[in-house]
Amino acid sequence: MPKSSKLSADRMVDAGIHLLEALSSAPDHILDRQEASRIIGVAPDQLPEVIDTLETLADRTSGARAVIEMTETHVHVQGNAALLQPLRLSVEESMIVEHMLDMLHLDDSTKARIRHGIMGDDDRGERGDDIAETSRYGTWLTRIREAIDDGIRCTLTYRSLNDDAARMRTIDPVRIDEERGVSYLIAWDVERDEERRYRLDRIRDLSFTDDSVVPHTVSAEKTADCLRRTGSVAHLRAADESTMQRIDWAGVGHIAPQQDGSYLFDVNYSSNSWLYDQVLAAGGELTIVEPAELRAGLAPYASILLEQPSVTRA
Amino acid sequence: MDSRNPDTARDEAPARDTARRILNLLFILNSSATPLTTEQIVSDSDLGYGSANRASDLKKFKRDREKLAERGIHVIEVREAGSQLNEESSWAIDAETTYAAAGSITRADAEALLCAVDECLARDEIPFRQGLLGIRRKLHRLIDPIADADEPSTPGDASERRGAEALWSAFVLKRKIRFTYLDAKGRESTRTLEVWGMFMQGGHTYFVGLDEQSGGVRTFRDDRIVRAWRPTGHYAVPPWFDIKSYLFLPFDLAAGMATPVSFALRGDCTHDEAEALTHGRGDLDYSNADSCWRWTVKARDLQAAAAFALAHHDIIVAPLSPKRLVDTWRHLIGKAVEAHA
Repeated sequence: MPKSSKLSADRMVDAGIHLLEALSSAPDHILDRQEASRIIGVAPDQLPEVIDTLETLADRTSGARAVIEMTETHVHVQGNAALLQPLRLSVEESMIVEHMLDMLHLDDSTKARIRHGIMGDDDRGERGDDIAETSRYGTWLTRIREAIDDGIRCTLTYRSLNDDAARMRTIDPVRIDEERGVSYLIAWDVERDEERRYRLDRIRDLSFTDDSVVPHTVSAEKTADCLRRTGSVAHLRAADESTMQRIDWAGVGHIAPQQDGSYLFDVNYSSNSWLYDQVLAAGGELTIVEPAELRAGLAPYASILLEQPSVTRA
Repeated sequence: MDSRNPDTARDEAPARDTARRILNLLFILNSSATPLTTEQIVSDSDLGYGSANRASDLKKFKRDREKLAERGIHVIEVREAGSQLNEESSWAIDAETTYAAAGSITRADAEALLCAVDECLARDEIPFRQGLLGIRRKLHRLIDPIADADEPSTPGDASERRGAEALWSAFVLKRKIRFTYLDAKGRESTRTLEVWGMFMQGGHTYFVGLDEQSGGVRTFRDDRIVRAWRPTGHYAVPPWFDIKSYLFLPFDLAAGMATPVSFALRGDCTHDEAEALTHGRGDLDYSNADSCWRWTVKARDLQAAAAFALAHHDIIVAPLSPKRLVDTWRHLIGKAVEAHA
């Protein structure tokens, strides 16, 4: 394996501070050597360089010295001279946490506590507007994680694509997955006795019940696999390559280019109305080939859309 | 991408000395029971100062304090009550701004943040992974100082993120960064950017800022950054800049004037659903008369706006205005039905 490059001054300072912090908080101030490299973000062969630098730290007035020992398996700090109290967040860390406070929908008093307690001093006066992202967590992330960690059965109010209105379900939450910029709760629907995926940003309400979860074996499957297992399948045609490239649906299966430049492809989907909406949005560049009854249902569906009061008024 | 530019190779010994001096400054201030005077610090050759040039040592000391401050360690001047202005300064670590206030955040607060940190760490597109790990360690130290914090594994290939990590670091330090970039058409160019903000969308990270080459504000995608150089030169982000306005929607990606367009959203749509759809862009008002939400936003491409409304019909009930938008929406529906005739 090629040797890692020497650390720059900035990286050495970061690594040194992180290692002192990590050793200060580790049980008996001992860290596994591999873990130490990982914690401070350096390659294993760079760790000795960091420790060599820290071992030179000394105060000749007081006689204090940083004594850090490295064996084949562990790193250990001796004495108290090199121990650090828990530090506030750095400039970088404060920027990240400020963004998270924005995403998590925490109440003002919690935000104030966090800012006062651990965030760094920001004398630049620039906070909160540095980082943005499309909303993904909704309002219930913290409660969901608590339910997962403590094994609490919950009731969940949620509107799926096939529902006209949100309805309540009883679920055993299992884990949170992230896929293509969307966060999902993977849970067991108790009434239906099946695994389900729920977008976090569509959960309207979540309450704890007094019951504990019943352990279930849930799959590690992604949305595509879930659709393949539980959804319907349709055969579609995209008029050209640019239309095909714009399709980023999870359920797209086999794609067959045609001689006329069009593409035939399969799609697994869970909602007829969702599929019709995508076909209508393509304005004729996407057509349903099979099944015939699905194809025949497009025109009546489109008629209903066109007859909506807000549209007929426009 | 080469993360180590030729300058670093030549400066290895001075780089070690600089790192050692900064860490030693932290060490002696942290271990000292009393503040240290300027003289004690800058005259100490073992510490890394103490050269024949005092002015140079004072400048080094100032830069070193700034480096520590970037990492949340604040070294402040300490004066005793009644001391004269011409008396020598003393220095200490400012405990209030450096050390976390013990007991000031609850376990629930820390766990709420940890939850978000761990979700972020599972994402491929995050350029601030080390920052997240640092936050994680600090939070665990506050709520469970005895236990080890199991660090989550890093998804994906780290080499693919180095460009984005370099721009992120430049952004944190507010330093201009030069980098090579491959645009959507495969053309490579070298840019120098003041990063004013960054956003994450659709599994990518985008950096937005003042591009020296074009003289305008430009957006650069993480996976198209080929290589980056060490950042230099400071800048300030203009106070009027709002990164949230750069979260794009499909109807933004066209040339020409932006036109205000309005859509009706389902009356029972929640704030979270609306936020996920609209990216917080535009204005959202509830109409009691129509029992629906009215979303008004600017669009550069009316056809794309009509298609967006149709594709998201589970939330967007219908377009409202202008008439051209409604007509385009109807036209798309008509063409789709005609293609199935």
